[in-house]
Amino acid sequence: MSGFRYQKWDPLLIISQIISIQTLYYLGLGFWVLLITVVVDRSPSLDYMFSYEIFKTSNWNNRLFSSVFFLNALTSGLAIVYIVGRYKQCLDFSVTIHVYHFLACWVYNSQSPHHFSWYVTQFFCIVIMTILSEHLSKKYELRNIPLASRVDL
Amino acid sequence: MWTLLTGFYQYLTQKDDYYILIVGLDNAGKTTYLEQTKTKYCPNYKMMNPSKITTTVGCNIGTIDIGNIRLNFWDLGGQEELQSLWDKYYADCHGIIYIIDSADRERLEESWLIFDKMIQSEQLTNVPLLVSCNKQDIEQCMTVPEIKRTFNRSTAKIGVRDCMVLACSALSGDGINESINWMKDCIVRNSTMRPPKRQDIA
Repeated sequence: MSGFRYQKWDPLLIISQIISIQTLYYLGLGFWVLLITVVVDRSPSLDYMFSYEIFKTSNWNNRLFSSVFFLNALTSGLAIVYIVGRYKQCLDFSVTIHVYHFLACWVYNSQSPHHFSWYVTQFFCIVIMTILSEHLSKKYELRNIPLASRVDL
Repeated sequence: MWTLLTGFYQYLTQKDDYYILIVGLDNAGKTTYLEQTKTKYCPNYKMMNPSKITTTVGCNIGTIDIGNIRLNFWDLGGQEELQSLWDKYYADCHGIIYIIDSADRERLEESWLIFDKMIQSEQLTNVPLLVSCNKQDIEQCMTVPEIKRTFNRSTAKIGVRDCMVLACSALSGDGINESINWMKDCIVRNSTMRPPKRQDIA
């Protein structure tokens, strides 16, 4: 049972890809939160990642912290390209990441998100992540295949 | 996760694929037989007008679903020039249906010669064989015992495989249900020796 894509559906591969991409997503999110809290001189906490308070967007501090998600969308897009690398599955993995993030936020806050801006932020994150990863995967998949030419011209 | 779930769904609903070869002399009624089978087993299938069925050049393909298996039929042209193509299909098939024109007395010997040659092929060992005496609706046709007398000379070469001789009429549809059900049971019984085609999703 070896060879490239011997079976069309490989559950073990897909599950391990989901787990690794989710891990990288939170790793990236944590990194950006850390960076921003160091810059504005606050103490980092999980609240910036999961809580809904920062989505009130009433003041600039909150907006700054919610922009962390957009930065993270870029790094996660790169993670998707690196781990999955298939144009067809980019949208699938982007949406999966956000579904799991939605569940994690629910568990953390014991309630579903009630701020409209939370949904807007996540939607634009999906869009950015999908477009970035699709663009890069497409370029990767359609690159020229170098053939060793045996003909001496 | 979408690919995970759809792949899982396809894995649960996939069926085993088996291939059946329909061979015989030209004008025996193979294509009509295939059309009639498709009409009986596919709910919304509209049969082609029998008078419009002409000689097959190449191959006709049909697929039916019975229970949890899928049967694919290869109806090969029976003309003399096309008979050399038959052996290309032997290695991949799981069952053979040999159609005889019961109303054609002059060509019965010719039909037996072709049958004999086909049976000797090593790639067909243990493959279930169904001999179908077609065109039983014509009045002056030969009966099954008469045809069996000519074909009994090959009994030794048929060997240990599952073999049955049935009368049928492809135009009226008699005898086709029994034939296909028998063939299906034999193929499933024989699946240890000739397993179904490997699935894409294991």
